This record gives sequence, C-alpha cells and structure tokens, in this order.
Amino acid sequence: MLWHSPCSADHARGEVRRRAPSHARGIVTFDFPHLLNLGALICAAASAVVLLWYLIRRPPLNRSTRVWLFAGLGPLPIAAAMAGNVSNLEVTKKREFCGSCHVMVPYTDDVKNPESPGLAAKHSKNKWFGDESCYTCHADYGMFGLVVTKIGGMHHVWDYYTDDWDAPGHRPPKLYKPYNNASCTQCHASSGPREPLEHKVHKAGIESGAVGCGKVGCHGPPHRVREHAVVPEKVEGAKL
Amino acid sequence: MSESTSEGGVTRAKVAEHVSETVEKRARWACYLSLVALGFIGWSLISQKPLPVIFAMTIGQLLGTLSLLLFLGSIALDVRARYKIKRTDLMPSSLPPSKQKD
Repeated sequence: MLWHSPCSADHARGEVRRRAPSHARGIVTFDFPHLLNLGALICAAASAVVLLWYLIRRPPLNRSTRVWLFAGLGPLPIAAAMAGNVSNLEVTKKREFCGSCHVMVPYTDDVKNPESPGLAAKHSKNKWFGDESCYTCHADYGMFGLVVTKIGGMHHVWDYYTDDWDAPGHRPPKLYKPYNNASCTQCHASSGPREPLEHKVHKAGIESGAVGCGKVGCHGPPHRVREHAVVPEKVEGAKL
Repeated sequence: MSESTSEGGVTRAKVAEHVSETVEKRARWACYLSLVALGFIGWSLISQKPLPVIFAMTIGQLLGTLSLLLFLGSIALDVRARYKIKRTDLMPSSLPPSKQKD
C-alpha cells in the first residue's frame, strides 16, 4: 500500500528516478512519514470499528463494553491523533505543501526554476533541505519554532478565507513581521576572518534587524515573482 | 415498613434506570463525536493538503477530546450513582433520614 500524496518526499524533490515503477506500485514504503500514516490509519480504523460496533449492536454497558469503548475513545484515537499530527507536521514542512495554496504557486514556481537568480531558488537547490526550503527559511528559530510557524501559517489561511483574495489587484501574500535575520545567521556565520566589508559596516544594523539580509541591495530580493510588478497604489489600498 | 422499603426500592430503581439511560446516551454521543473526529484525522492522512490538515489538527482534536471527556464524565456519573445507591442500601433503613424521623 503506497500513497503518492502530492506532498510525498519524492514528489517534493521532483525525483522521477526514485519513484517505483508502475508494476511495483502497491508495495509498502518504510519511510518515516508513510509508516506514521499507516500506524495512524490503523489506529483510527480500529477505533472506528469499536465505536461502530457499539452504535450498531447496542450491547449493554457492562464492564467489558466499557473497556472496549474506552479503548475506542481513548488510547486508539489518541494514538491516531498523535501519529497523525507528527506525520502532518512533517508534511507541512514540504515545499509542495506550501505550493498547494494557489496564492503561493508563483513563489514555489520561482524556487523550482533552475534559471531563477532569486535567493529562495538558490537555497531550494540545496540537497539537504531544498525540498523543505520554505519551512527552513521562514520557521521561527527557537524551541517552539515549529508551532509558532504553524500558527503564523494558520493566520495566513484565516486571512485568505476571510479576505477577498480573488479580487483583481489584491495584494500578494506578505509576512506579518519583518524577516528575521536570525533565520539566515543560523546557517551563515556573519563574522569571521573572511567577513565582507559590508557586513562589518552594517554589523549593528544586521544584528538589530534594521538591515535585512534579504533586502534589495544586499542579498535580495528573495523571490523573483510578479509581486514586484504590482502597482503600488493597489497594494497600499489593500488591507494588511 | 414494607411499603416504605418498596417505595425506596422503586425510587432507587428509577434513579438507576435514569442514570443508565443518561450514561448510554452520553456514550453514544461520545461515539458520534469521536467518529467525526476520526473522519477528520483519516481525511488529513489520506489527503495531506492544507484544509484537511488544519481541520484534523483543530476541529478533529477538539471533537476527539470532547468525546473522551464526555465518556469519562458519563462513567464518573454512573460510578457516583452506583456508590450512592450502595451507600443507601447499607443504611439501617432505605428511607432518607428526614423521613425516618417522621
């Protein structure tokens, strides 16, 4: 049993050569997200069987029925939810997941473009985290970074559904707060013997966030998409 | 005395029946809620796209937690009712103390 969900790791990497041939489809893959998915689905199915058995057969609520019901309402769904959460959180890090919202398609198209000179496109070619480049660069760097980042993502989804994003001239997706340089410096050391002069000059600004690594004139713009061609008046008129 | 015992017995039977109905009703509701939650979770596992994942991790979790609390609450109610009935049975008379004084 194999799900080729649009967010599977192979799909995200665009690696056709790693895909199983058509005659081999249907075999179990033992990568971590798929195993978690499988475990979660088995727990959910077992729980559903117990609950449906109780609802259809209506047995007397004696001790054994209660134990079965407790299993169907407690440990099994909790296991399904926990495994499902981990699996879903892993999937939400994938670039394809971000691109499954159509407002993000120009961005994911840009990072997939091998000719793009954008910062994001360059990072997405990285073999270690290229298929998770959106998450790697936009995640809050901290203990609860994943959760904070996902809550921020929920904010975007909420805005999307409560705002008229299909209206012509609507603003493109934007960050709610300035991009944090710490996301860059967690990998790129900003000091060292070969530090560029610009970094030395702007050191205080980089550390305080007054100078953004991804700004035009430094290393940006990060994304080469149509947002740079949007008429400024329309952007200003839009709700932020 | 036999009449009062009978009266108390009828009352206890009614209480027990009422509690049993309530517990079964709540257990059924817990099952319905949990099935909806499992549906959300299953949907998110099969189609790992933004909306199913968001629904599973918000509404699914909420409904699942509510169903478990509802079931545990109903079991607690049942245990409490049984304990009360048992304690009444252990008393010298099955009538409440106010009636005993009369």
